Amino acid sequence: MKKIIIGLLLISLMLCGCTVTGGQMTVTPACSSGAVSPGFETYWMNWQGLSFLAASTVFLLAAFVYTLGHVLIHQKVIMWAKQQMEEAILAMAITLFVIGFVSFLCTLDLNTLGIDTGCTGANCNLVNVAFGRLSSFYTVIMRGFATVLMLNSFMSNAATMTVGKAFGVGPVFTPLAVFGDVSQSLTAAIIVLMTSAIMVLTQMILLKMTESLFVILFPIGVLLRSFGATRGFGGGLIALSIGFFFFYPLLAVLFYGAVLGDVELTYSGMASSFENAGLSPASTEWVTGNPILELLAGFVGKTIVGAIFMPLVMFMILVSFVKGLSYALGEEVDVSNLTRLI
Amino acid sequence: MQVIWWTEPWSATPVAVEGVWNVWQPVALTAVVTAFLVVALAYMLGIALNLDGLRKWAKSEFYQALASAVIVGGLIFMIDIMLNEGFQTMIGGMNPYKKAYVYLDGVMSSLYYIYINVYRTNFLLEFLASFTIYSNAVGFDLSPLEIILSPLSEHFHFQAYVVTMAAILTAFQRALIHLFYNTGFTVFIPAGVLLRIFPWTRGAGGLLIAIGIGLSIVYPIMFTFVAMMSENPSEVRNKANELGNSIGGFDLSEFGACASDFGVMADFATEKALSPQLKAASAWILGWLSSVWLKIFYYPMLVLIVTFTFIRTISPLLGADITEIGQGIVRLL
Repeated sequence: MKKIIIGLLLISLMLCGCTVTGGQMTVTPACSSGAVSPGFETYWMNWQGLSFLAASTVFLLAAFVYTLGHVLIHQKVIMWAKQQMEEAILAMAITLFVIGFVSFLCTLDLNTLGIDTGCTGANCNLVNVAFGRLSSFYTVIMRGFATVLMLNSFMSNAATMTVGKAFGVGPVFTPLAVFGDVSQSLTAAIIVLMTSAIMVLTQMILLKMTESLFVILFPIGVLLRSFGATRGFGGGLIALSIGFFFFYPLLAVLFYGAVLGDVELTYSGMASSFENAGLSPASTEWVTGNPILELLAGFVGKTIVGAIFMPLVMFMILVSFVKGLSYALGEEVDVSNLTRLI
Repeated sequence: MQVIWWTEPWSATPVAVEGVWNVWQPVALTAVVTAFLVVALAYMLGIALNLDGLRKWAKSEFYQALASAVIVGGLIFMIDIMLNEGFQTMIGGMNPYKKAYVYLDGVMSSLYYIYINVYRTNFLLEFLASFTIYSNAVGFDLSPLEIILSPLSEHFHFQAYVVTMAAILTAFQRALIHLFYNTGFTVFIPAGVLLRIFPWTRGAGGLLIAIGIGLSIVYPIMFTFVAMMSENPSEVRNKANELGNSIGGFDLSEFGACASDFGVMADFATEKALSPQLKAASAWILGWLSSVWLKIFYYPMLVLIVTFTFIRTISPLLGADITEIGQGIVRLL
């Protein structure tokens, strides 16, 4: 049985849209230009025949066993055969609707759902909009990072400015040494902003990888789901691929749509306040109205919510979704156990 | 007519909760009706084709559809009250968001005043500590006042660092409340209600509802209780200003700051380096933070623990199992 499964996996990998040329592996994306990519359609046509063949084989065998069960009046055999026939029909139905489902995901225009995406036409699908939002968030974080870095370099330079060394002997003092304290505070903010930027960049890379992940895992899952012995595993793969290709970008679009505008507004306030203060420590912008340091703390706080807290919540919800869908399709997959490896 | 939700101090645009619920309400009701129809159809097919498994599934899904209908009905009722009579009606006449913002603004203000006073006090100390006598010919470089002043200024460095981290933490909490003020009833709960209706997205939907209720209602309410337990922020500000206006009777002339002779200055400095007065001054400086220590570390932790415990408890009731997920996330953190 294990050899059969391994053999099926190898065949699946050969036909799943991966091509190996000259030591590099390229993966055909599922979507391109807002529609199903022709490469994926071509590969899926190979798969579709194989999946139908597998499902119909299972159906015919189950029908034969069903007949045998009636002849032998063996209830357990009859029930098993019935279940296998139901699952084979479901596998055929899934196979039939794959292209339709992928086409729906690739062409879904979020503007029609009332979600303001700021894009038009073919690029308004889930993955592109989610990537756009994360990209905008990353840009704002890096702008804030650059602003704080500039502020920090001014502060640390001022903190080391000395007065007095002229004649080879005498007193020397550093009048603005206290700016070292402010520089230390800004360094803490820099560390937080850099960590946040890395987290957002990681999500952007993950989003781009989900398209490839879908092309690899989904066809394998559909084929494996056709057979009784690998049904659970196949269902789990289908759930994982749908979860990462559809649900994760959906969460990113919904949640980052709420966070982005607020962070951009806070950054604008901080940047214009800094612009007004210039490089003068005597400017009242530092201490009156909305002081720069308070605006900075507000910007960093909102960045932490968007870049560190939100991904954790999204991951929890994604794991719940994958668990539920994999249970419905086959075997429950608990992605959260991956965290035990860390 | 747009119902005005309570508007945040810095924003003139109220959250359009009513607008969102005008869209989500019929969608949620349609989804519940669809769930019942699917269950009925599955049950009929189960009887017609003599499929026992399908019949059992339809029966269990009927109860889930019923639970979804109760949740949808309850939420519509709650939102109706909140929009027509105000959020505060539900919680004994107080607006928890307003209380939470006032509390956190007070903490931020206190931290800011402490930071300013640390800066002012440390300005003089750092300036004096940097005073150096040098001679290139002989090849020496000496800062006599650093011996006695660096222990004090290091305390201030520590305080400034702690205040910075506390300010970031407070800003994070404020941003969290702001996020769920805007998205709790417009994104999390409606999306959760919809997803909960269908069996394969029930877990995710239940978790979304639990997070939405936990962070939109329980989290700000906890700050209301915390605000009742803590002192008035203006008292902390006054104390910080008072401490900053004088450096507590710390007379630098006793430590040789006014000596005209370098030898006398150095003698004073080395004699007084470990004096009880210096230790007392250090303890006094560290005491600046004691007034806000509870507010910046203990109370936020308490609020977060209660909120996440609520989410963890209510999730299984709504169909989500987050025991393993929660442990995994905690390990990641």
